Amino acid sequence: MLEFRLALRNLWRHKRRTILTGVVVAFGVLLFSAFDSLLLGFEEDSLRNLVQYESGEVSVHARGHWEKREELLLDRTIPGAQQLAGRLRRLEGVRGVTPQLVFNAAVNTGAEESPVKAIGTDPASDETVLNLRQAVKAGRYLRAGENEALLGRELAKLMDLKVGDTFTLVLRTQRTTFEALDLEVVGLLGSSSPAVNQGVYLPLDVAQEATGLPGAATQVLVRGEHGFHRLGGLPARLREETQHIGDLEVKTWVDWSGDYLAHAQADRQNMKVILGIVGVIAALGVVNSVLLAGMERSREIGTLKALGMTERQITRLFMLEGMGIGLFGGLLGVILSLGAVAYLTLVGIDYSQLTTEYDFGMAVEGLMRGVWNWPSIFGAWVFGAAFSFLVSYWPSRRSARLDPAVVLRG
Amino acid sequence: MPRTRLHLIALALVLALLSWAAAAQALTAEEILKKVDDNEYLEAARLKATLVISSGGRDVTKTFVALIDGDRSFAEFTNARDRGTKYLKLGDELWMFFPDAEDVVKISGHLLRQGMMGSDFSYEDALESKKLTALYQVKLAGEEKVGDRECYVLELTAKPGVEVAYARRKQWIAKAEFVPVKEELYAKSGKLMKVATAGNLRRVGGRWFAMEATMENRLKKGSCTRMVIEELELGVNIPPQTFSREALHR
Repeated sequence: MLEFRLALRNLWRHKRRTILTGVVVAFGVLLFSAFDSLLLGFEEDSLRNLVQYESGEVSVHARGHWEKREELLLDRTIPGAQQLAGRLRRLEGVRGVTPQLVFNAAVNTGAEESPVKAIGTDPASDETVLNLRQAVKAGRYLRAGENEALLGRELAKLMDLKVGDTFTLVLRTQRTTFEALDLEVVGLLGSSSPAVNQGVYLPLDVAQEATGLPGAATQVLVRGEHGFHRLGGLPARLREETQHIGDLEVKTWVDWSGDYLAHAQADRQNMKVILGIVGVIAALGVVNSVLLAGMERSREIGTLKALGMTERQITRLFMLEGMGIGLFGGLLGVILSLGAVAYLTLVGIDYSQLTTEYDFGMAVEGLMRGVWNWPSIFGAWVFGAAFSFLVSYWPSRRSARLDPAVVLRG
Repeated sequence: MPRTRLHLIALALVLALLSWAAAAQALTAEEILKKVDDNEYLEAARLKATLVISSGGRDVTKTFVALIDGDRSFAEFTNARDRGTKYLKLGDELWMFFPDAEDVVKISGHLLRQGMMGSDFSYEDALESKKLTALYQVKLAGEEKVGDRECYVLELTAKPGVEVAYARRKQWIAKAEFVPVKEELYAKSGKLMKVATAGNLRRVGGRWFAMEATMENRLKKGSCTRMVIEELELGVNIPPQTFSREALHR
């Protein structure tokens, strides 16, 4: 208890040093919490966008299509996709089902041509799984059977197209024959998903007719009732149902998110490196502070030892001072982090100017928002205090070993 | 000379002309297309050509040398900017060698639709080496003049179940040389995509060839490519290893 009281008093006596060193620790905690909040928010946004705009929660594919889905080929499709969708809709725990036909195409305006990912989507059912309707920023949504399209806003900007304009969608049928389809732009899509902002959406039946695949789809997307983090037995039920229908395979959003999760893992590694650098800076601050305190207070140490305090007690006293700095700095860091994370979650960081040029390989665009991660914020505080306590050992031990006769003689 | 005899000679002449015309007419659409195929199908040929690519009011000129043997071909670009860029076509597959990266890339999927070296000839067009008689049903739609040449007009429709780039083609075949002097290429929907015209017909090794061809992309305003064959040799000796991926690195 004596060491505690003395440590507290010493911290109070040397306010400026305590505050300055505490600020270094606080900065470390703030940096860690803010980065952690942003990375988690980025990851969550990325996955939500993937599920709401591309993959659904679970998807069904013709066997062999999944591995080559990035090539957007039409050689492996699901025939009778609407019938399959109808059957899956009746399963327990299924909230919505929609078939899609995704293929390579080029948008041709007569002056420019650009390769694109074209998506045939079913206007009657896609809103039960995807959020495309909410992404319409100008014009209206698609109507089945009409030669019309929705363009992602980035693509529309690139090709200088607006609502009411007509363009030619050049594609190849399943038999590799060229097809050129005149489509009217009926709406522009804008979302936080780059895939949506750069894509072309047309009615599924028009896409099927153009590609020579009536009734077919490259994927049937499914949404469960409990959100994408709680799929439960839904994938298993879908596998059981589809195994009797044809040569199909079932994938979940986790399979789709392989790349995103790899990115997230890499980001977490980077985070550890940042934390390491910040930790070293904070540790140097604490070590320096305790070392200086020992040197400045050598006469005081001599007196304490002459009065009977052991080296162990003096070491503990200085280590407690180090921990005190860590606790104070950590608390300051937590207070600052609360403000920073609140800003990141409520306002976010707008980087839309950047994303017109780079998409970071992630499915988020425009606004980066943080999320609250309480264990991480308070964990940083506890870690800061414990770390300060431990790194104070060496300078504390050095001070405790001073000879009282020597230091008191001056 | 008695008038009657004169009439008889005139009548005989007319009949002879008519029978010759009838004989010519008697050629079916398939026979015409087969003659075109036979004429165009190259075995052991070497050609040197220039491409003039016009787009957006600018002309870019490229030169290349190609070796062709049936459905195999090897082309190397020789103009300063693209020197060393090579293409290898083996059947339905196409590879490209980039000299700067010293890398070989297989051209497949949506890349096949792109213009070859920025031209209006797509890789798909370049890959098409099968005889048209194997791919299309053909109908004789009439006869027309293209410039000062009398031509057969053929309408080609893809055979069911056959993989072709263009669902329908319309060809104007020069009657005397059995060389297409004009061709329209249509998408499945019937939209006109490209128009090719050919000129400067020359006889090489007993066969007729168009030494100039122009491909106009009807989907892209002001975009066309003119190819001029400067040298064409038939029956050349091509080492078999020419048509290999190793040859791309040499």
